[in-house]
Amino acid sequence: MAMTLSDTDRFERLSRYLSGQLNDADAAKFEGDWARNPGWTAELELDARFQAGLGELRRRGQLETAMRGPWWVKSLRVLAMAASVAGIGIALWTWQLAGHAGGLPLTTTATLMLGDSVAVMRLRGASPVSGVLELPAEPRSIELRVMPDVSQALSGDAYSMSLAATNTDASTVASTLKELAIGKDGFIRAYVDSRNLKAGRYRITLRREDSREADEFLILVSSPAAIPHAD
Amino acid sequence: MSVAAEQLVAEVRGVPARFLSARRESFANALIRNYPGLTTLLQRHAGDLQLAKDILHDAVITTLTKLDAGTLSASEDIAGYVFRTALNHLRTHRRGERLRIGDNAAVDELASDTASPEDQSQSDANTRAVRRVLHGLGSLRDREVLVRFYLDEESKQDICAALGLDEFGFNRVIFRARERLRRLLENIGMGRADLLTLVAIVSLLTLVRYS
Repeated sequence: MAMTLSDTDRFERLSRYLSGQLNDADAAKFEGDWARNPGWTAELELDARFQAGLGELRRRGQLETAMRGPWWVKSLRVLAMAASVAGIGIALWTWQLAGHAGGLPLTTTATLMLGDSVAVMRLRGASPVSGVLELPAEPRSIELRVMPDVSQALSGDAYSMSLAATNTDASTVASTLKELAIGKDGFIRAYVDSRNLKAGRYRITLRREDSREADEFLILVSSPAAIPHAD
Repeated sequence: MSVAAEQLVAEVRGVPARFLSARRESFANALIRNYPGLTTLLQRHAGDLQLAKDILHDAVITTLTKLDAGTLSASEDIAGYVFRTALNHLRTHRRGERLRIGDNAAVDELASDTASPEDQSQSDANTRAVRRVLHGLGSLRDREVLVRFYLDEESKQDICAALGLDEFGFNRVIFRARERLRRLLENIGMGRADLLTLVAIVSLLTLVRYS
């Protein structure tokens, strides 16, 4: 697609239109130009999604961190240090996996500064993946918001939740968080330390405590290093 | 086509056009689902979630009425027409009320508690995509261009002056970022396919009207 200068002019005119900075003639011209160019709707939608995403980052208090950019490209020295840290992290990870019999510790409150919040639910469609998480560059508590999939979930029910890598035998998962309640928004919340996660597939098992029924959700965890560089 | 869209299609199939206004809720929901960006933009400038919803619903009714009366051709960009109508209503409302939104950061604090889980999931995915675009940019200055332009709605002229850019450099930053976001959204199924879904819905409305 060829670059068009109107990409920026179009959104700037929309912003000025909405903030009342266009006089009536210019506002009418903007509306007319949009009507004559049906493709503008999709392009303005793309611009508006940019604005919405940035606004959400600001609302969550994550914009400043995102503005700092990826830490791994700042300098070769930092990269070398990061490689060392990663090596130590992998060793720790391996050690930790062996230490708690395949399950990952969940908590009912954030133990570190809060990072991403992941909504996990059975989506209508064929995808087996119920949630996607991108690992933060710095250690954070990740909020898991899981929506029970059982047909008769009640707000007063108590649930247990566990998290494990998909290559872990479910019968060996020992770290289960119990007596969890459904929130007003329909989600059950738990937190996991991002240092305990690495890129891969994880299984969340949610079980109503008075029932044998269990919901299993697959989530994908991706490494921030997978993000392509701009230039 | 998503399940929601299929459901909507099934609901309106065979329904005479004069009864389509009764489907305005479904139509508005389909718009909100397929155009979350423009919907959020409307909320941001309305400064009030309920006001934004009311305005969007009014615009949907206006559009369906015009379609029904034949004063609006169904071959037109229906989604664009609805949003143009909504934004026009908002602009008129704000002028009448002399309402000014001076603090965009405060507006961004508008909680999305009322969003459905699916909408919230879609918003989460969009936010992750935007963060990846930010991370993919080569310099702090480029990231600042995006935030000033899209979030703070500063003018191109002011941004160029503040950051020492010429217009070509400014447009290049925006162009690259937009294309990267477009690809990311398409990769996670939030791009072109969603827009085509709405096209299918509008085509069906056309079929119903002229049948």
